[in-house]
Amino acid sequence: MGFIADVLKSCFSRLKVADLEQLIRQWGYLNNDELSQLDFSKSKLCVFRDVLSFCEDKKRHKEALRKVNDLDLMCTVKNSTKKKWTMYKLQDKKSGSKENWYSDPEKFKRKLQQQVDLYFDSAASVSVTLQDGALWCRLYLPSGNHFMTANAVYLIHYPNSHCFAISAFKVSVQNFLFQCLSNLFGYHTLTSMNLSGLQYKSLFQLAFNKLGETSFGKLSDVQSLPFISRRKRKAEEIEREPNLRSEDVAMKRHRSLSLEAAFGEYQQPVLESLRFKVEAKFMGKKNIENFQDNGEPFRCCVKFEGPSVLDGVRNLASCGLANEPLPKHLLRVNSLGTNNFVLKSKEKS
Amino acid sequence: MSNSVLIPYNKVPQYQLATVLLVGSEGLGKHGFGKCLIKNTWFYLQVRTATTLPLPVTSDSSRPRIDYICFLIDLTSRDSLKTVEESLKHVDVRYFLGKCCFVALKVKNPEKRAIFIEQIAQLSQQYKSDVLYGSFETEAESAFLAEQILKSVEIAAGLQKNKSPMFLECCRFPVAGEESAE
Repeated sequence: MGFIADVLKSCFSRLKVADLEQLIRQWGYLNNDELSQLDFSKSKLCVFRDVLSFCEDKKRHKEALRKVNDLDLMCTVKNSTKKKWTMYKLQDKKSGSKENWYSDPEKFKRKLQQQVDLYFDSAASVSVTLQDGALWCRLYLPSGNHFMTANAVYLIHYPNSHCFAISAFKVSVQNFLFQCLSNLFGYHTLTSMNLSGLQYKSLFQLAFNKLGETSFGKLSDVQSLPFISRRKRKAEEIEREPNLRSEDVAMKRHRSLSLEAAFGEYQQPVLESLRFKVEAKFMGKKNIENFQDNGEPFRCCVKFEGPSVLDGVRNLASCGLANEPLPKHLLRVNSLGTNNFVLKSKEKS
Repeated sequence: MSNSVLIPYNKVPQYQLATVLLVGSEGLGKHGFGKCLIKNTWFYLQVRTATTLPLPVTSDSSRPRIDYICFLIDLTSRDSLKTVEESLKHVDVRYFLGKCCFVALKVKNPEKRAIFIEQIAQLSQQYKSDVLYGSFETEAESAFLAEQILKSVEIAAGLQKNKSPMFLECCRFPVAGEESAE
């Protein structure tokens, strides 16, 4: 029972007190009598002890374990922004084999469990749920007898798409995990898209833009995906004062039009960081006279970090703090589908 | 080039009206300060804001005569000084006879400064114009700056009887002849 207690504890520690009651009711493992005995006005620790005792009373270890794993997955769905998601895509379709797409969570779970049983220990467990049109999956790949949160891998997949968002996992399981997933869908490999962040919807949007899985190509045409709602940006308000006038109105209008052409009229996908590795020649010789150029590239790393970097870049330009037009490597992030770039100088042929 | 130079006396003045032009890079709070100037004024005032000079030719006909120019410099940004220096090339020399001033902003935090005070002092000396130091962070600070500027604007626009900017200039600096006599 120690294992169940550990999983339950990790769930409770991640949940907010306000969400606790709703989630426990939604969970559906405890019957009405048991639910009425729970006092949600008490501390989380008290509720945890009560829930654990109910689970132990049922004396069905396997079912309890499965249900607790489901609760863990529900916690992750609820707090999806607490995990760092990295995007991966399927590559190289297996010749002769059929592509397998799943939209039914039960079927997906069965097939995934089969694959997991092939590659991992029999104690490995799979839980799947369907939420907001996406399949959410939790794989627990045990190492040792104790529960460790690092051994739980979470996965988000939109049915009929080629990409996955996967939370952090141990490097030791990477090969098996990738083989397991690519086999499941009838592909050879799973490769990283160098795209990571906390908002999975934005990540999928960027990934779909790149993979062309939706019917748009140009940035300005990137409107909305059926399952991902996008909000329109608020129109910029200019305060009118009879005796105060700006001489730059025409310039500002031109700038906002060109930004709209580049970024579209919708709010940008949310990315928390944008990293550029620069391996180009040093360009600032004008300012540093004594710089010795030995022909080697000047290596450095430039990071943009914040709650929403793409909106931030746009706002910088619209406030006039970034020079217009913006460089292409900032403008095209939307369609390149990655947030880790390497900038190199062109090689002369 | 001659078209792009801002001239103080090429337009007929409007009755009892003064016009101030605020020049400074974006993000300094020109709009807010413009409103503060209008709020604190005791005469009829119009404020125009521009990021850089020359002013666009298209709106030239609708623009009244500019009586006074304030160049706003953010001490924490080198670009703002550069913008002002570039803009100064497009200003007629007669503006520097008491019809313009420099306003140095964000003076409170010396450790954040990117521009030395000496540079500003040198600029002021070069153009024989005043420098006001302050910030737009609080309303009181803005109002204090606005009051100082409005006093100069009133004289520059000819709204004060028997006073002109040239007269003030003469009172402030020793006349060349007197200097040599000493």
